[in-house]
Amino acid sequence: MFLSEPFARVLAENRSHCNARVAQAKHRYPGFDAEAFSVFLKTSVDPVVAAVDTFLPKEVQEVGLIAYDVALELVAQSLAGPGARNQWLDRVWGELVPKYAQLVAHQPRLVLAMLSNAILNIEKVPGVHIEQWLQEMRCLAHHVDSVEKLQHLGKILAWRSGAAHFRESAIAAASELPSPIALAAVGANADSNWNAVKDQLLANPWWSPEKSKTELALQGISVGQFTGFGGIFEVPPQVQACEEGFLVKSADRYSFLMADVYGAVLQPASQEEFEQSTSVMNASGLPPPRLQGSRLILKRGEILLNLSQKNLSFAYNFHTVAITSSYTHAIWLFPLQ
Amino acid sequence: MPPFNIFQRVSQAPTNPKTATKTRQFDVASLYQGPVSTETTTASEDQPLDEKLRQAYFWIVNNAIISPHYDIEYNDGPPQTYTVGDSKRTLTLPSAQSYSSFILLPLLTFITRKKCLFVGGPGRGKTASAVLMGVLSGATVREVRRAMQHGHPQMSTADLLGNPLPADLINAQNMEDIRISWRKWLSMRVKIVDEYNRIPTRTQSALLTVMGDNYAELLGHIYECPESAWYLTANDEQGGGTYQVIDALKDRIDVTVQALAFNPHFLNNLLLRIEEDIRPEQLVPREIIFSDEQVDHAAAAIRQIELPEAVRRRIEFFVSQFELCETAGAQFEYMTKDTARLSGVDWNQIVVADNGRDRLKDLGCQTRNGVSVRALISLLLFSKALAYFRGSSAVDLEDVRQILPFVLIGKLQADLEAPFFSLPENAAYRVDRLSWLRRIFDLANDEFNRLDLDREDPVRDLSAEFEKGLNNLSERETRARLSKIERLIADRARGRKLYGHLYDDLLKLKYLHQRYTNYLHWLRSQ
Repeated sequence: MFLSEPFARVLAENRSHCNARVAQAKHRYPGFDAEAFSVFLKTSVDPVVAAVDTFLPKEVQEVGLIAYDVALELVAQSLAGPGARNQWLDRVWGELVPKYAQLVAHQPRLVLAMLSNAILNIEKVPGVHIEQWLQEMRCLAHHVDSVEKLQHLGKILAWRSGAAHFRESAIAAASELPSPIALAAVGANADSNWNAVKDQLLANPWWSPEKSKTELALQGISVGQFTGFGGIFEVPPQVQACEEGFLVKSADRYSFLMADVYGAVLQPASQEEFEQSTSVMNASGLPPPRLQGSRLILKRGEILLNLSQKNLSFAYNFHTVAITSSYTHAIWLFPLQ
Repeated sequence: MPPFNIFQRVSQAPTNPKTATKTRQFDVASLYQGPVSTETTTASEDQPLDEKLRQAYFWIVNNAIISPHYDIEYNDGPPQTYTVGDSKRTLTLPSAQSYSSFILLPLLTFITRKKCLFVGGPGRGKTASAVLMGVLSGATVREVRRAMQHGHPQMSTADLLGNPLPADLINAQNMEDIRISWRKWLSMRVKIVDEYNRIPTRTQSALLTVMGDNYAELLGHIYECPESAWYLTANDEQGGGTYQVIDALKDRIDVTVQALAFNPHFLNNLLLRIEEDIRPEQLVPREIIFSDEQVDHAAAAIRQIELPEAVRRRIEFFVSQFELCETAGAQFEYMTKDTARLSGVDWNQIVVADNGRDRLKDLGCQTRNGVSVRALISLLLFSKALAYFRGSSAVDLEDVRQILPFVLIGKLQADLEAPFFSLPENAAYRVDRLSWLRRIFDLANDEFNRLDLDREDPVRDLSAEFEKGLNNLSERETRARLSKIERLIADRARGRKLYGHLYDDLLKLKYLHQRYTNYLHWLRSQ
């Protein structure tokens, strides 16, 4: 595989500088894989430089060198390239960044860093649909003509891909965008009213403009897993409800659980938070949930739980009921209405 | 300058992460923060200074020092341990963030503006580390190197402090007219004296004035030095060398760190450094350089770190083990090792006369002296500094345990003739004094636990009662307290051997008794 002409030219003209940077990386990271870096340059950096060349050829030199440095940092940390810890960065550079070539041409370091950091952060959140984020970021790229809009879009799509803890900030970010982009970003029809959509999103975390998502969420979301299988729970967890979500205890580890129609996320919490959390009374006016054997009784109907009826317990807040059992390391979450 | 510098990269993440307990506020801006830096994600100027200090530590560990040794070990659960070799030494894999003393202690010295001695063989990075600390203060590498004092046998006071201007020497009618050209290093915030044990004794005295009292004097002229951190290097911990280091100078040193051996597994890094001509001191990132005000603020914050009473009591108990020398004095107050030292009587004669106690059990028998007040001040301050560095608001017993050997090494002198050192399992402590000091602190703590002093300590209770003040204390109550003290002394004295902690208890009780007696006299005169 050969480099495109613009990138090959940049590297040739800055040969000594680029070689010195690799030497520095070798010092800072003794395990630096020069071969992997070479592959990443060809497969992932080259498409970015080539795309910029089509928009703004005069910026190719600067973009090429900055992209080279960022790529070096990523490969040196084993975050990109063949054999990297992260599988997605190569795709972000190869498939997504060229779609935003116009922004890269003007603010290369900021855009490359933002998108690289975003995928690294999203990948760390268990249960997030990264493929969905990538695909929607690609599809909506033509709406984006500024870095600010790109930032907002990335946040909203991260939330919709399952990063439930971004919910409030993502809705706020959507409000900063022009209505057509905001509606597209949250998956609403183009002829919808943004303010009405926003009000519904804020009122009920289990509501989505996409009917399929709402229906899927009614069937419940499972979160958490045994540490032996890559999860974070050493023992079956205990759950306490609070206004914003749930506080979870498993052995000596404490977590904060947030859930909505798009997914559920566990964040680190402290013992004090767990001990200080108080039960939230159901102020929604709905009858409280009940358990009958292995059936969860909600106002909207009954749900047959695929769990032994022995030692089942639940906690609930204004919108959500969380089911736990001493026979599973998972927590099941259902919308109350 | 390149867009970002790999070598100068400072950790963007908290370097001692702890679970947040504040109100949960998720900021999606964090989505775009990560390993790749942007213009908007550079280190904030208003970040906490303890975090900045940790970033400085980790930058040095990861970039400047090729083979760090993690000898300050912390655990938050049972560590993995392995018994290795015929001598059955223990290799420990700590379960919490642990540190390299060779970097951490100089850094704590820098932030507290105290004095640190580097010891170890030539070419082990002693001077290089000192230079790094100078650069952290904002001086350029060239300034730091030029200001460094290199000890040599011909070093004069003028070399060290400065010279009178030759023209003034001829023309001046009185001493005040002689202007002095003070040496530049006296104004530096980080002062480095390389190979201080090669400085002649007379010049050492001039150095002592600068180190101890922070001013220089020449021909009746005074130069007031700014508060500064001091780094001295020596090849010999005991102060030997071309000239014997005077005791007063040694006592001014707050901590002593040893430059450990280079691990050849890191030779590749050394090779790269040679090939690329990289000098870490020239690449110190701007984000980890401290201004004078920042050091002042950090030092003030360190002084505010709490030292809980329970920890303080254990330090007191440990220190009280060492000063008693029962055969040295006829009067109770003079039964100290210092009395024996001042008398000039041979130490072995004094030790032979001391035959009443279990010399194996008594920790005091392992040393030839006690702990000086200056060493205690260093111990307390550096323990606080370590707690601050670790992001704690209070000193933990483990902080004291880790710092103590570096403060007391060279100050608490081991008596190698003591029975403790003749046991085969303790043979290594004859050589490895750091481990010995940590061991005797552990033994003192075991004894403290055995005596159950955390729960029941009548001397502590009486002291606490006295601390509440004497205002409006009735004559009857005063007499009751006096008799309580007398009963306690009688109880302590009955049929027991005298150990260091008991000696200090009795002296404290005598002090309390005297204060109440004086108060009683005053009360009766009213």
